[in-house]
Amino acid sequence: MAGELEGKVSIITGGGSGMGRSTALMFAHEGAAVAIADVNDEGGEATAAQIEDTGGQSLFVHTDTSSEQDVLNVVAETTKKFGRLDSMVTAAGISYANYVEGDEATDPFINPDAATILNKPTERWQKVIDVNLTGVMLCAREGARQMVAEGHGGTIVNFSSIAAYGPSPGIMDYCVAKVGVIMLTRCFAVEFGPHGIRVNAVAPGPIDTPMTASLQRTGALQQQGGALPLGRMAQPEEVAEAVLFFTSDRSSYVTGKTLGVDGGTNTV
Amino acid sequence: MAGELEGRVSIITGGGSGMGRSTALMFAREGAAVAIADVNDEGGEQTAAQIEDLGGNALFVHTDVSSERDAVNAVAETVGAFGRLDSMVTAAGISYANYVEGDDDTDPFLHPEAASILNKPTEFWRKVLDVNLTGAMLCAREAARQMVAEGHGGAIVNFASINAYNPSNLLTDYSVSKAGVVMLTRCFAAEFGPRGIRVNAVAPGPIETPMLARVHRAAGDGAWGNVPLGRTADPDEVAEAVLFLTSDRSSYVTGKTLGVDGGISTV
Repeated sequence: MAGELEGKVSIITGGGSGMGRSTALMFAHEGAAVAIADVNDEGGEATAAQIEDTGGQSLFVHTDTSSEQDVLNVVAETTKKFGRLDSMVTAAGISYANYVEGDEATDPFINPDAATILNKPTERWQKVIDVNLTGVMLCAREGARQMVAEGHGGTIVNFSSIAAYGPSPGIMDYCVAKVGVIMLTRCFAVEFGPHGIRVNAVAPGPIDTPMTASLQRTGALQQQGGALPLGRMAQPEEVAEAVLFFTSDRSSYVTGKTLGVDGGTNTV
Repeated sequence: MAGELEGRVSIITGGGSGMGRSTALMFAREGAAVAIADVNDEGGEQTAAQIEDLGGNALFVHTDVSSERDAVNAVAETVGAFGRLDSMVTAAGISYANYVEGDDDTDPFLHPEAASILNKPTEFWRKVLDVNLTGAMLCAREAARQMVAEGHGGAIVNFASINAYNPSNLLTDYSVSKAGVVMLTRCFAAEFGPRGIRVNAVAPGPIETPMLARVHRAAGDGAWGNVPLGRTADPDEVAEAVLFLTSDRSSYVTGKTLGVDGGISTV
C-alpha cells in the first residue's frame, strides 16, 4: 500500500502530536515529503526526526497557525525545500485557551466552573477561535494560493470535531470554531473546485490523544459523546486513514464533505 | 493496494451494471469473493463472468431486493458457495417505477408532466420505495443477521444519492427513498455497532451511468454546471469510496453518509 503519495508535498499543521503526527507519519510512509508546522517545537522536531529516521523527507517549521506571517512563512519554506505543494492538512487545534499540559488547576474538566462562558475572559474565546477557525482559514487559503500559482490541483483536509454537532458546556468556543470549519470546508470546496483543488474535513470523535487525556481521566468523555456504538476510543491512525483517503486520488470526486470518524456517535 | 479484501466475502446488489458493477470488479481485484445479486440476469451474469475471467471468485444470484425471500436466498446462496459473509453493498436501485430501458415513451426526462407526483399512480411511488428503501433494509438486515450468527463483525455500505438532500421535482419518490437510506444507515450503525458491524453509505452525484446519459439527452450538457469540480464522474470513483468504507481503513467510521458528488452543495 505504500507509495500512494509518491512525489507529493504536504504541510501538516499540528504535526507535533496526536492525530497530526499520525497523519504526518502515514503520509511519509506513503512517499510524501512532509512539512510539520507546529507551535510546539519539541514535538514538531520529534515528528520530523522520526520521518527522516525511516528514510523519508521532512522539515519542521515553527508555526503559530493563527499568525498570518507564520502561515505565509511555512508555505514559503516548504516550497523552497521541496519545490512544490500538493496537500495541506490543518490538524492544529486547541480545546482550551488557558490549559497548560498536565496542570490540573487549568483543566476545565476538573474546574468546570472556571470553564463556563459566564466566567471566562473574552480573550480565551478569541484565542480558541483564532487557532481553530482563523488558523484553518489562513492555512487552507495560503495552501490554495500556492497550488493555484503552481498551476496544478491539490487537496486540503481540515479538522473539525464531533463537538461541531454536539454542544458541550465548558468548550463552547471550541464547538463554535469546529462547526465553522465545516462551513469553511464547504465554501472553499465551491471556491477552489474549478482550480482542481478538493477541500474536505474529518470530524474525529473520542481519539486517544494528549487532548483527551484529562477527559478520559475525569470521565467527562462518557458524558460528552453520548452513545458510542463501536464502544471504544480510537487510535489516531484511524483518523489518519480518513485524512489519507481524502488526500489521495481515491477520493477524486469527493469535495466539500466532512466525514465523522467517531465510532458512530450520533451526528447529522 | 491489491489484496485489501483478501479472504473476505461480499454481496453486491445491483452488481449487474453501473456503480454496483464497478464496485464488484474493484472488490474482486482486492481479493474478495463476490456474489452479484441483481434482478437483471444478463448484466449480473456478465459481471460474474468478468470476475472469473480475471481469476476471481464470483457468483450470480437472481435477486429482486424488494422480495424478502430473494434477499434471504442471496445470503444463503453466498454462504453456501463461499462459506461466510463479511460485507454487504446495497447498490440496487431504480429511479422510475415504469421506465423501460431504451423506451422513450416511458422516459420521465422526456415526459416531465407524466413524472410529476400529481400525475403518476400510487403504485409507481410504492415500487420505488420497495426497491430503494425496503430493499436496502432487507439486504442490510439479512446480512447483519448472518454476520451476527457467524460471530464476527462486518461492513455494510448503502447507496443514498445527492437527491437525499436536494429534492428533484421528477424524483419525489426516489428522493424520499434515498433520504430514508441516510437515516436507515444511522439507525443500523447504532444498532449493529456493538456487534462490530459498521454501516455507512455513499451519496453519489452525477456519475456516468445509463441513467445520466438520459439526463444529458433531455437537459443538454449544461445540466451539471453547478458541480464545483466541473465534471461528472466515473463509477469507479464511487467504488473507491465504497471500498474505503468496507475496508479496515475506515475502522472507526460508522453511521455516516459520504457524498461523492464533485462538491454539489448538500447539507
